[in-house]
Amino acid sequence: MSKLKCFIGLDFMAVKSYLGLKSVLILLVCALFSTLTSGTVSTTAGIGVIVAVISTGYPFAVSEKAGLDSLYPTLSLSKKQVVSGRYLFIFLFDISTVTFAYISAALGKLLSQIFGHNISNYGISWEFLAVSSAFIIIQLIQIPFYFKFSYSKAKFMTVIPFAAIFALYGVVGISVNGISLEMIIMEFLSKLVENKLMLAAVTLTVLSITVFISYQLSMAFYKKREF
Amino acid sequence: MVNTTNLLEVRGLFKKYKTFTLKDVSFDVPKGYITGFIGPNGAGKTTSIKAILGIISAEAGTVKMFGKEHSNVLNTGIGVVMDSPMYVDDWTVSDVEKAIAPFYGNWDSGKYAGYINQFGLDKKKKVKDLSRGMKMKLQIATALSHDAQLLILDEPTSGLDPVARDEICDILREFVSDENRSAFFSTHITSDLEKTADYIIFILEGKIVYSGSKDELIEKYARAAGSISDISSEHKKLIIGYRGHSTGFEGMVETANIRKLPKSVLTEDISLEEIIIFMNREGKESE
Repeated sequence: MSKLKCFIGLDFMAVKSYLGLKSVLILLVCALFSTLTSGTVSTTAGIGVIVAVISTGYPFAVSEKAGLDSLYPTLSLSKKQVVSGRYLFIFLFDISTVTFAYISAALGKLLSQIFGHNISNYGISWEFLAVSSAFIIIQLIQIPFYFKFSYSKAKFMTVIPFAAIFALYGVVGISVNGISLEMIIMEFLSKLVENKLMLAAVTLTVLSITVFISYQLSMAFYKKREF
Repeated sequence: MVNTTNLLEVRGLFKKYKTFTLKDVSFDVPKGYITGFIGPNGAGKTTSIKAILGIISAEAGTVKMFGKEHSNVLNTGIGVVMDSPMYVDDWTVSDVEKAIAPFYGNWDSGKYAGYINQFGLDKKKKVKDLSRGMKMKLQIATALSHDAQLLILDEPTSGLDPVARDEICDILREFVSDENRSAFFSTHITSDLEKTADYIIFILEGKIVYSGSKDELIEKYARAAGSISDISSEHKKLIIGYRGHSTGFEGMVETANIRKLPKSVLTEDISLEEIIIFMNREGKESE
């Protein structure tokens, strides 16, 4: 465990330059703006998730440029520890970004009260959870690409999950005899939303399966990589 | 039985690439000495070092470090200095310590600060702003701050001016003044090894062609030169890396074979650099 902790620290040191004051201020301004314009906190938190997903490639980019993949074995890190450590780092980065977005939203709520606006909902909405889950699944699909091809080759391939979702959206919208897959899915989802426990169980199951497959693929790919 | 006189024992390393193969690489790095790893560019020095460190996986062979079968865990006992530092360009000299130190239980911050001071490095300076010599010194400072027993250096003096090279050689000599430590030092700059190395491992086209003491290697061969008309085809077979030109021939001969050559052939002491050149030439001609 201590090795994983050290690795997360090393990853943090590696991406530190991306996390300068400028980046934090940009996120803060975006979060404040979205809270004030949308009137909901969930949208702001959603921005946090999107920023986190966009940032997934940072540790891979820095590792590739600096040759850190060759450094890891000299620090007595196994490939399994590198993969596990990277997943934990990304998870913590996601949590930190969403937390920061929420704190920014709180600031936005405070500001809105000063200007006489009202923020309708400060809690976690189901819409936010659904959008976040979708983005996290995309992130989980992207990670094995980075482990297999390294950042510079994989950065174009990581657009594939986004493109696939748009393509899928187009496909499910096609209706045959007045019935479309979209309608069936929406009906299923509306039933699911009515049963919150079921929704949580399905979301957690899908996420767990994706995490498992993503991790196993990353392990298999990274074990074969040589630097 | 574990041979505790060797800090590193490599046996039968084999790794095949499309255009290059590391063939049955075997050698020892004895305790208390500097061992030079020489060979021309592309001979397999870096590949061997990467296989030893576990950066690449060998298809066959074993590596024993400190008397134990190598696993990544043992890498805490070694200090690694590569051709270019594996640090983030935007890290400052202080950041390097923050990133690396947590991996070593015996990291000594006082020692690191001492080396940084001794090597004239500025703690606030970024890695990307350091000269090549300073980058090497930064890696050495890191390697020495966790009490490494074995230093593995890949081309540490390549691209450095003579003063910086001499400083690195001095650091290595000081390091092995403790007889429990060793330095394993790859280079193609043989003058550095002539000054510092006690043992030499010579690799050519992925195969070890010599492993032993530096003095024995230099004594084993002599430079031979003379008129082409002085030697027969039988004599020519004794000349390693034979090259004929308009005024005569030159090559290298095993000192044990000097007597077999005509007295008109001039033989003299040979340098490590010439040994590499003649062996390389011989290897290419025999292909």
